[in-house]
Amino acid sequence: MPLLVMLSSLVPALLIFLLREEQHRLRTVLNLGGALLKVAIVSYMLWGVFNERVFELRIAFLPGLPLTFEADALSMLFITLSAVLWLFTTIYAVGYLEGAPHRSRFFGFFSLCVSSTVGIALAGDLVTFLVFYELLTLATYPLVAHRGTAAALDAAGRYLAYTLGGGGVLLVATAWLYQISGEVAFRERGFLSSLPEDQYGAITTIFALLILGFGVKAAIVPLHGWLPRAMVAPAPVSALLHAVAVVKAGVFGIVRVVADVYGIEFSSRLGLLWPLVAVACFTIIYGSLRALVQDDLKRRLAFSTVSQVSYVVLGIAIGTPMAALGGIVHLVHQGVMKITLFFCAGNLAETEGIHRISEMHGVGRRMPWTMSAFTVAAFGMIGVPPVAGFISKWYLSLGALDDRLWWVIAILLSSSMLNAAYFLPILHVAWFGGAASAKAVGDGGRPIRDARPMLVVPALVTALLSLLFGLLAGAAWSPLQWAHLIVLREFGL
Amino acid sequence: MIGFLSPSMLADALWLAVVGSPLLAAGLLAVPACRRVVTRLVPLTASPAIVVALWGDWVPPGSFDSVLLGARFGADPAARVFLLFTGVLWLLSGAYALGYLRDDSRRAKFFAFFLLAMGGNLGLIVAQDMASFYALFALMTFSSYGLVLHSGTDEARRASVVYIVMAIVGEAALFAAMVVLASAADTIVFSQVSFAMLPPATRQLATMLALIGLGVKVGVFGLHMWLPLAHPAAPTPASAVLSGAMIKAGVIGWMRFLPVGEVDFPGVGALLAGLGLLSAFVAVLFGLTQDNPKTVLAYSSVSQMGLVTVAVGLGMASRVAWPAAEVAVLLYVLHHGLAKSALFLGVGIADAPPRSAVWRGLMRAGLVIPAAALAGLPWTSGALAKAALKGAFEPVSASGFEAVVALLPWTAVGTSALMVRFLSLVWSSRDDHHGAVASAGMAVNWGVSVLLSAVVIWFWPAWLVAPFRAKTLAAGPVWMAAWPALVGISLAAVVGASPMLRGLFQRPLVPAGDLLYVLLRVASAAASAVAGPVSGLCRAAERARTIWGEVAGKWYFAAGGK
Repeated sequence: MPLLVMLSSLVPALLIFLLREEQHRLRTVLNLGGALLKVAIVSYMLWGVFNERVFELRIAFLPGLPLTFEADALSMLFITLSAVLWLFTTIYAVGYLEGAPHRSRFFGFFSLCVSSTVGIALAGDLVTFLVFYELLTLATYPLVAHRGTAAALDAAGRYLAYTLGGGGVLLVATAWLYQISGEVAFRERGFLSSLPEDQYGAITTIFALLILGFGVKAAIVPLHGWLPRAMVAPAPVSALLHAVAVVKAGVFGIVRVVADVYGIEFSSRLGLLWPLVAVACFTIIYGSLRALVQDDLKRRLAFSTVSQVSYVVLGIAIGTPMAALGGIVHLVHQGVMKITLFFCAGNLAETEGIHRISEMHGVGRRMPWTMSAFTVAAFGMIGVPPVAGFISKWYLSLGALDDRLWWVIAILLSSSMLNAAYFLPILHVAWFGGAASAKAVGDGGRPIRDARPMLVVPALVTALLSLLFGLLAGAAWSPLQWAHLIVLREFGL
Repeated sequence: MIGFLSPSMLADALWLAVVGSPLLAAGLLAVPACRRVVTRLVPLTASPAIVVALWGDWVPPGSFDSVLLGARFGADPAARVFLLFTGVLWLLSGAYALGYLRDDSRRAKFFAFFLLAMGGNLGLIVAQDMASFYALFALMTFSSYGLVLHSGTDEARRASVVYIVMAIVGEAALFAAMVVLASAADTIVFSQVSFAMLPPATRQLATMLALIGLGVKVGVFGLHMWLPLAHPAAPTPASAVLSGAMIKAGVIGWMRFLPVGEVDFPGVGALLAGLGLLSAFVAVLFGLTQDNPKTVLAYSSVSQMGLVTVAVGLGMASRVAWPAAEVAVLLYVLHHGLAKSALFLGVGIADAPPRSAVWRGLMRAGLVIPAAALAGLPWTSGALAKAALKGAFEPVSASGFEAVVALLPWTAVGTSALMVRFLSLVWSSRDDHHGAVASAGMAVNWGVSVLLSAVVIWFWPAWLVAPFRAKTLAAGPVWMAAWPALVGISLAAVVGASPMLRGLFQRPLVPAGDLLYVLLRVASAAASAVAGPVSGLCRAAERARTIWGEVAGKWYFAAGGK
């Protein structure tokens, strides 16, 4: 079963590389077929994992270290997120790149990225995880560099330098860990607590190295420098970086390390978590402050990602079940909200050539659907209910209070207010900006001409998902309930 | 078949309709083909709420486990009082807006925000759990931004910025209150929170946060600065619901989040009562010097909500006093909601006065009725509400609230003077008004609102009103109600008669927004001092300084120094 999921994007990837540029119809069929197939397989697996069925796969790799894949509740959360968002990103990308050059290359690597993400999600041990993690890095590079401009190449080079550096650190840490413990397989509540106390110094250092390594992709300050630069890439790539795969892979790695290598309780006992809380809080505030002063829309969104992704880190680092619930569910919530924002940014750029917030005056009147989707997602980021972001913030706050961390509430609230300070002016400018001129000519200053349906529909669907994940958080199928399942299993409750 | 139409299903449908019908209508406004029809139906979307208010006894509570964190809706007696006047105000203002905005090219946009805010406001009243309350409260708050900003004038822009910044601070404090409470009480259903069982420190923290978070909406002194800017800036029908209905959302929020009736909080209660009294007096002073009738009304709202705050403070101080204080709060919000919106809607009529002298006379008379009610003249709704307020203090007059009791009548002196000021401003609005006469629909709606403001409180809700009806109409209480108003009116008359004194009130002594003027001056000075050393570290501080500089410089120094 895990093999099938991976093949559902790997096979199209390889086939697409073989296609000629002008075979766009076949390419689209392959892309969408793969994406739909993957959603179908993932749904089947979801049902299985919910009923405690085990999906496992072993492939011989290094002597004594096979590649292992195992679908647990946490993998399914990530894999479902990426499968569903990949489907919409593919639709969007097909529309976005209509007529652009090098589409075979683009879609080939695009599918490869998602295959690696599946590998990351399903990896049953640290080594397998690392293999696919590096694969993801390599598959993303051509996408960031896609446009081939100097800025794109520069951004891609920087991306590669950051992430390969991080990967190197991870490799060292993993090898060291294996040498000490002789084990690398992920296990609920970790496998290190049985080590003798004289090794605690070493495993503390390893923890720091692992966080450092994963922190690059998770864009933890000060390892975030690549992310705002990478916004030169086309909008679907930004969606991939920020919501579907890359950043998520980093933070997913941190969750795996804390929960399934060290175990939340054991890492808390070792005193490993409070520095992580501090770093996450700093990142949350720093990202928001930087976002505040950006005029370039995608740069502002990028810094917003820096801030929001650390909510997940914060949740897992606080170490109480409630906080973990908030953090893990934010993995999904941030994904659907941020992908909406990037889709919308892409629509603005495609339709009206708008890249800066100062150019957005009155754009809401001309592109109402795009800006409606943007508005829903922006309110979600601020944490206004009923959009999904509220649910994450609610459980993070409850979790922080469970551990008597009053000041974390203050951080979360400052972050909300900063989010409001950098999202609401965008909404104001878009919906109310240029009101004076609009008064003179009624509502029809420029005709209503939203982006093409291929671009608008994915944004509207993900906006709707952001709304429903919050509004119907209590429903049995909501990400919140799934995260609940994960927390129950991770904490052995 | 039977199952499908079971009473609880019908009730659930009704709960959904209370919130959903305005929201659905707002959604349909986005479809150009529906726009004409839906616009006409705007006022009717408040009707499910009015139905629940009138016959709420028969509507079983609704639980929607899959919505948010498990949504609960229900109409307790207090909610029904809020729901009635809120529903009626939205209905009347909606109908009035159809005429008021008949030539506005952006009226679809106005109605979209209007409906969203309506759905939030009606829904939060019947929300019985924290998450739904907060969601609907936020919906109301953020949608009102569109109402405040609608006219797009400089004044509206300035007001909307102040409004949204303060609103967000309020939202944040409310969120914190909610989390602290939910974490300690382990429930989000209001009726299941037992305040007496909570650790005192937690209880105190949650209380303070809720007081601040909702106090912004109520307009408690110190958190009121947005109100005299935003209420006048909005189009008149929106001002009516802002001042009549939406500020009361803060009050029902207090009734839900504060430990009133369960725990004694003498210190906080006294503080709140003191703040309330301060609001009641100071807002009158600021309001007296305003030259825009809608700003005068907005200051009057701050002052009147101060009196409601006093009653809540009393309930906070002693749980024994709460039942009577609650009655006072309910009657007071009912009275003020109806009367204040009648006044605001009247301003819209007076701005476009009828041509015939008879109708003009009627218009003036119609303005006097709710104004007299606010002043608390005998036989008005205000007299009854004030009697209830005074009654609330009777059992505890010996416990430190003597000063409050002694000062209460003097607030009516101030309000009377303020109403004289208001009437002189609207009456004198020029007859040379070029053009539009208020539409017949507007006039009828306003007439109905005046009528309701005068009548409703004597009959509904019977269980609340009955004890006070006879008491207010007896001779002794009539004099008690009359003297402060007479003193106020005489004072105003003296000022009006003497040209020298009148000169003092010719232009605003303090610009609307009062404290903000001072705060921004301090903040901009502080920001300049801080920004120097810090700017190298963080460009955001630099930006903050420019924002403060702009806000303070452009708006306030200009407003104050003109």
